[in-house]
Amino acid sequence: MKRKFFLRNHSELPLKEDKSTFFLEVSVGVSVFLFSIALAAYFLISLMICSWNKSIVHGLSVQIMPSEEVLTPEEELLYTGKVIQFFEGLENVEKVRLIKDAQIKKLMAPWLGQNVDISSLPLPKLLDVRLKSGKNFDYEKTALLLKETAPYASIDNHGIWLQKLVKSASSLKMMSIFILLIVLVAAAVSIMFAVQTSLKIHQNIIEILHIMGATDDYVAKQYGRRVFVVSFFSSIVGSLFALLSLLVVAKISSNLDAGLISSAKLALPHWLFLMSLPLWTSFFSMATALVSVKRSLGKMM
Amino acid sequence: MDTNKNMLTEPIVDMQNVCIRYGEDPEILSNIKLSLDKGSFHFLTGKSGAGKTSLLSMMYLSLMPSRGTVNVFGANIGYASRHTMAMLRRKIGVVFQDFRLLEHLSAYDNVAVPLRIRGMGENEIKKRVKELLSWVELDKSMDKICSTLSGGEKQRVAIARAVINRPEILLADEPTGNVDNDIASKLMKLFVELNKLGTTVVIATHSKDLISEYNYPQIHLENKTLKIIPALRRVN
Repeated sequence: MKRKFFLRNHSELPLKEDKSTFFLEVSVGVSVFLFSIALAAYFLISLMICSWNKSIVHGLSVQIMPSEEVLTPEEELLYTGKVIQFFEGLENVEKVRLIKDAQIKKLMAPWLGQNVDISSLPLPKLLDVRLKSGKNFDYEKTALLLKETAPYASIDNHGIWLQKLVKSASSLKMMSIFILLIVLVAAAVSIMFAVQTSLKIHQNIIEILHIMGATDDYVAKQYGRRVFVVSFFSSIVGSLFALLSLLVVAKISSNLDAGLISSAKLALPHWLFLMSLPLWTSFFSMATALVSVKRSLGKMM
Repeated sequence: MDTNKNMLTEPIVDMQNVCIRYGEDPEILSNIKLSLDKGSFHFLTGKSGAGKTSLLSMMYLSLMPSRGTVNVFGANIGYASRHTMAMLRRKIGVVFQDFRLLEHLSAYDNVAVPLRIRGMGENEIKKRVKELLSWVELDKSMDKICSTLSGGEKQRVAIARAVINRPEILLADEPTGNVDNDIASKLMKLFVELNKLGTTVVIATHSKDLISEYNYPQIHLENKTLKIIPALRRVN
């Protein structure tokens, strides 16, 4: 039956000549463009929140401030080793990693430029501490013990500000869902409007078809097929524009990456899903048209 | 068995106390009682505005009565679902006075519509449509768009469309009004042949020549009421 539905060429309704087709093409194309952008935003925000949550639960940073006494490089190394040993000795710690100078230089580059010798600057040493689970980790107790062992070291619990960031991002995520819903509703309303206009134009033909024994399904399927085809091609255009825009934004944002917070990149499944939107849109448009037409036909002869 | 017997003898169209009015206007038909048996042939007569088209519209299930009950093929149309109505309409062939063809389609496609609605295969449709269009002498015009056909050609397309499905009831509103005598005679022969094969035929006409030549009973509408004028002699 489905094969018949899509392969049937004959249409008694001259839908190809409908003026509402142009309106449908534009509204579906624009809707798909906006939907793709909003969906990509949703994916990115979700990925970032996920990544930040992992940081909150599984990681903390430790700063070792430059000592007030003048220490030799060997003494500095011993001091840092002591702090590393302290954390490695804790039960809940999975891994402790010293952030290398090259990496610190990269982090500072946006503010200090590329050609600064950071060894001459009083920058703290940084440790990245990975936890097995952050849920049972007592930050306050650990901070007190650390103070006793190494007074110049302090825990930077970036979970606190990351949590704030996650909260803001979650609001953005909700907003992207809201935008997706609005675009979906707007698209559905546009399709219904186009279909209703067409039904009014072709009322006489539909009446003749009914007199000859056509069911509402028979008429609705002609609309379904037409709307599917129109939506498919216009949503491909909308989708292409959206993908191009996303690639441009991705390129620009990769240049702006300051390294302060972990950014996110869309993975292959996300891109594939975005690319498959024209197909989903066409099915959605077709279903909307079928429902709308059937409801209207129910009020006709 | 009894049920089957009842179904066979049941009138194909049965109207009881039917009234028709449009909106708040006065009734145009009042307390109509009409039973059409399977295989019957009637002319529908009456002056212009007497309600012939309204009565036909009710028979082809396009118009619901304002009052009374209408049974078509045993189904009360007041209670029938939309799907049932569609299935009932497939058994009815209609020729409209104004043809009501799908003007943007070819003669071939117009005649093919009832078969496509039934879901028939294109090969079978091609065979049947070509055969019928050839019979009504439209084989050379079958690919022409209907809006380019003459009145007589359109009428023949309309008739071909009505009979292609081999309907159980054929309702025709002035079917020979726009064609010359030869074609009119040929079309009437078609209706008579279909009737002999069991199709119930109702033809609305003003033509006294047609009524006297074929001499079938008349459903005559006058003063909002209906009376049956029997045929004077049997047609062989």
